[in-house]
Amino acid sequence: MEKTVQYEHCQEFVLNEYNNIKDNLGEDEKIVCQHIGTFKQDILISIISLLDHALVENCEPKGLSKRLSYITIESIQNIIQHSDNFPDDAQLAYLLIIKNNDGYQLKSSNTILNNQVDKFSSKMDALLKEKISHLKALFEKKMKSGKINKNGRAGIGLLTMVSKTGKEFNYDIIEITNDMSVLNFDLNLKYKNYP
Amino acid sequence: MKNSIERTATDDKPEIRFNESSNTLTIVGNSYPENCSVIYEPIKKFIENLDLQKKLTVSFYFNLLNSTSSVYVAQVVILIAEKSQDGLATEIDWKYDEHDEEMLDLGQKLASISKLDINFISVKD
Repeated sequence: MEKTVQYEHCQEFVLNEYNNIKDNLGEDEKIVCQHIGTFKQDILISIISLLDHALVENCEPKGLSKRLSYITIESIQNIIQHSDNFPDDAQLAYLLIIKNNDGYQLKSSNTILNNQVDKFSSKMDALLKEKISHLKALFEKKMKSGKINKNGRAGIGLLTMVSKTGKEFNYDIIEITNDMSVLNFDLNLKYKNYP
Repeated sequence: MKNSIERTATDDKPEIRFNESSNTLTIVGNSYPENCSVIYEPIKKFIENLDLQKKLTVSFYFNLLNSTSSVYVAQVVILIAEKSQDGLATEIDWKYDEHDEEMLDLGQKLASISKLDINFISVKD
């Protein structure tokens, strides 16, 4: 299958998923922030500003607000860095932040090449198996090492996301074509953890 | 050439200023840029060129920080610790919003890594 056709299949899938979530919100659910398309640093800055405004307006606990902002930054920078880009350098990814009675839910989706799926899944599954205390120790070890990769990143975004959500974290990968899959994240921050 | 450093804050980058008379380096604001090296490499260079005879005070006060910035801040603090071993007197303040446990936790990790005494200062709303 030609690459452009594969992208079209992914595009259709991601768009359907995005619309499906929006069309099937529960009675207690309200979208706080949303973006679909290409993610860049200026989009991240706008989303963080919007989110901050919404959290203040909703009088949310400060601890929850901070943590949601941290996770949003890591999620979007993860999409910017790791999402497979289309030939015109565009991306097809989305991010939705939804408020519900239990707290906040962050849903994101981006394309990933099939040849990267095994490596990614192994890394994710290993992180999700670890105790939070081990994740924090691993983070400290990474800080101490001071290592920055050739892209100028520390490579600890996923570790940070898992650690900060306290494992209220799910992901799945759906193969769309021979070469491409879609990676979905579903992260939750619950009020009960922020008295 | 005079060793100094200054940068105005933006939405995703912190303000950096050095007060020559008090020998105080202040880093304050958000730090989640696309490229963290543009922020932290000049700070490291500035610290490398410090006069070891004058006591250095460093004040960190971050609002939002991404994970890569955390690693760069660790590099800065470790460098300060090395200079301290070379004879530089230092005082480090780590300010954090009173509800931001993660920022306090990060400061504590920095103290653990660097073996420096860090003053933790909770800032109320």
